[in-house]
Amino acid sequence: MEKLYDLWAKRNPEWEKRFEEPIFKTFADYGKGNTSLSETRGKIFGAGYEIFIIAFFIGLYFDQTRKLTDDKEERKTCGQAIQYWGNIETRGIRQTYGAIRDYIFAALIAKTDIDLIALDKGDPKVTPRKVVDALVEKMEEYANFGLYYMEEQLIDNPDYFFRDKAFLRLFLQFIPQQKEEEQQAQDSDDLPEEL
Amino acid sequence: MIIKNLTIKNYRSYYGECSFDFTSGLTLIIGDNGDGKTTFFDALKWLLDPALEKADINNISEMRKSELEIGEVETVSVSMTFDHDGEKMIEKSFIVERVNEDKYITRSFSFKGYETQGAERFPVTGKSLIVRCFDSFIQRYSMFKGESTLNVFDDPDALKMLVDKLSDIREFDEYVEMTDEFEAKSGTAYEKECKNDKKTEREAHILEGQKTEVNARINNTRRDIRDTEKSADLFASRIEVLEKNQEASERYQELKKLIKAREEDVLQWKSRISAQNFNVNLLDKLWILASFSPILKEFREKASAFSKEKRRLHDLFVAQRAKEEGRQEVLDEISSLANGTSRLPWYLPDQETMQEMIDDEICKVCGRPAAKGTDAYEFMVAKLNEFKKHLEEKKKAQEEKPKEEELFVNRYIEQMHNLSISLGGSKAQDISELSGTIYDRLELLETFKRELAKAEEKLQDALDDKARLLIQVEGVTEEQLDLDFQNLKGFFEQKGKAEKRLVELREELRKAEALKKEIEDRYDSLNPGSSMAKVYQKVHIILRNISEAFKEAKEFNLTRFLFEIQTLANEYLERLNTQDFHGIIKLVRTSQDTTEIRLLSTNGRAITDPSGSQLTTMYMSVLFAISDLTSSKRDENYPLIFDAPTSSFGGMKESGFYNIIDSIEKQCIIVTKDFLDDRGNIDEAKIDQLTCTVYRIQKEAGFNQDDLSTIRTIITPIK
Repeated sequence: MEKLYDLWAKRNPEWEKRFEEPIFKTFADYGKGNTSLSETRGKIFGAGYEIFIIAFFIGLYFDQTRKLTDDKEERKTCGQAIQYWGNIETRGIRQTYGAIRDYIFAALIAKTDIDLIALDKGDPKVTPRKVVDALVEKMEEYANFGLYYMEEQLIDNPDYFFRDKAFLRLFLQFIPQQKEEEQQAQDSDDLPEEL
Repeated sequence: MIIKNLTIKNYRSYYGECSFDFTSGLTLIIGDNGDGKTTFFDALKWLLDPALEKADINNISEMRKSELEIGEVETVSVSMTFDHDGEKMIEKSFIVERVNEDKYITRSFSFKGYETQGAERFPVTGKSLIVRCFDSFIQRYSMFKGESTLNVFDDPDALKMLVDKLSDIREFDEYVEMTDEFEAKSGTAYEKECKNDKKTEREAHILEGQKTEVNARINNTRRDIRDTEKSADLFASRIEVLEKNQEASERYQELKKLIKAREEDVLQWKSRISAQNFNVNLLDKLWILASFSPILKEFREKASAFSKEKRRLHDLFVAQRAKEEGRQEVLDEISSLANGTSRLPWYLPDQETMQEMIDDEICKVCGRPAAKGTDAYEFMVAKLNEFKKHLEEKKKAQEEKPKEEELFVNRYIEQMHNLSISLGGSKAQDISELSGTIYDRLELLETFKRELAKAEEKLQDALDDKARLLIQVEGVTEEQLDLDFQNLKGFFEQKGKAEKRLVELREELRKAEALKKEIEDRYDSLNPGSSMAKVYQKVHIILRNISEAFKEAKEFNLTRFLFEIQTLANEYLERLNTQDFHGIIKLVRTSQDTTEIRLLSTNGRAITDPSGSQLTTMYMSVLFAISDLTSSKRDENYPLIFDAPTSSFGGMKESGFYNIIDSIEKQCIIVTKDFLDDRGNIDEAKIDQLTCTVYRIQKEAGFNQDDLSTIRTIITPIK
């Protein structure tokens, strides 16, 4: 039995082609293949999936999704399957961050309405493939919201993301107050660890 | 020439008629800023400049102008009485008339002169008198406005011209030229005769060839010497400039190093700041998960809930199945009772008890004997066999029982639960601490930025220091200072090479000249056959000797004259700097036939950057020396007139200087603000030490500082 995580990690999520020029090619070296420091100089991010990750977390933290266009012609993939995200070694000063995949997966499991009981029972209506389809769809819809959000910011101010620490600032707004944060840490400690 | 009186009338601030009398020694005219010192000097220059032959409306006293009624006229004039082969007078004047409220016209410009012969006074033109008695050339070496104009001798031809003008050496030139020509002509004639003379023909031709060759060599060598001297001079002057800037060069190098270090500092802070790549840290350092804790919690709760549910369903399922298995066994029991016999279950008594009863041949259940071969005995054996069979069947049945059906076929929920556990504990803690890390890093960035600002400020300070340094060494570029540092050594080497080459060239020249002399001697010692040639020979030898005698006399006189100037100048220099370091004046003749004044230390080394007062006293000493020599050689004397010559002097040096000038027998007129304190009061104690004539010039009290027509210079003789 192949792990659900592995099935999901083999996928290559899609996004709407309309974001290729204004976002993917502007902030990342999308379409350049292997990225090295000299080539990425001037761009904020390297591979295209980095922008996808950023967009995904924007959608996730706003807890907002947006359906992608049904027209398959108007969609593109990130170029690399999820299992390679954050693994690239030829990054110069950059660091690998493959661990992020676990958290994306965890978020998708948390946020997607799936019947794992039926899946474990082997219910033919709930196959691993269908579950992974649902996870990837959720992932794409979160990212799609994030991409639209970024586009809106750029329409309001074309320089928005070129300002100092712009992406970080975007995510700082989601950080809860210190007290809440401590409380949450406490809560997560209360979770049962054993079956 | 001795100036006896100068009268200035209605000339700028000199309102009405203002008169100065002068002795043959020192006269001091003391005034503060704006009191009319420079006007005094300008009035004199205006009078003495023969080229200025027109009225200038700007020279009219504003005070007098303002008083004029319309139609009224007034005279503006400067006149001077002086002794120069008898008493003479010159006067420049013009008339000004007010034609209306705002308009003035000038007319009747005149430049008149008078000279006295015996008891008679004859009018002459002022211009001719000035040209005769105090021409512009002499003026150039007599009148100095400010300290900086004393450097007239920096012009390499200045001393030569002075020597020509003031000494009688120039008179030699005519004779040198004439005898030179005689010598050349007689030589040519003699050589021609020798070449035509059968006896000397061959040798004369050889000697002619040799002479041509040696002359060419001498010319070339002289040219080389001139060129090399120029190079050596050039290097020397560059070294002089470099040494002048040496301190600045060294300071510049220090500053350059400092600037480099500070620039590196700035760069380091900048790179530290740029290394804080906050945007990529979202991914690389997982900062994007700073807000992930609630979602992680949600995931773990969901995984936990699925897990719990799965266990609950599984337990239920297992219980159900167990219950069903229990019911089957009961049914089995019930069915054995139903065939009518009352029997113990197959497992009672147990196998050991049954074997014991058979061995003892007694039924221990009912207590009756059951001997071997009896029915009871057989019953017990059958019962034991049934027990064994039952055990075997049960075992077999256990083995052959079909696998029970499971409720869950997959373990995806367990995968989720495992992931949940792996993301818990320290990982969950790390994520919850991310926001703190981010804010710490943002704070660190602010610290870096503050450090950068400090480093940039320090860099700016160093850059400012550099700029100030460049302002101090005005006119010297940064590249030049840099180059200076590197070049100094190079120039020393080059100069050394040029000097070595000069020694060689001079030796070559000496040899070539000796050879020339030898050739000439051989010419002279030829023994021509013709009597005409013999006559030419004698004439040529005599004329050559005469020519050489004149050349040597000229050279000797020039050397002596310069030596005298130098000696006298050094005497003055010593007197003018009684208690101060002064160095030694050296007049150096160059190969370009010019003379330079150099200030050397007693060890013969040039003083590369003499102070302002050293230079001033050096120039003055040379001026005094020339003036002395002029009066002794030509019986002529010229006044020396200085406007503010001691601005670079300190107080001590200043009083010493005036005391010395006071004691020199030479007419000196010095216009100065020395002897005045900050409030414009005269230092009478110092004045008392002097024996000379002293005038105080001062603006009349009660003037309006915005109205020029209220300004008037008042002259007060103090001594």
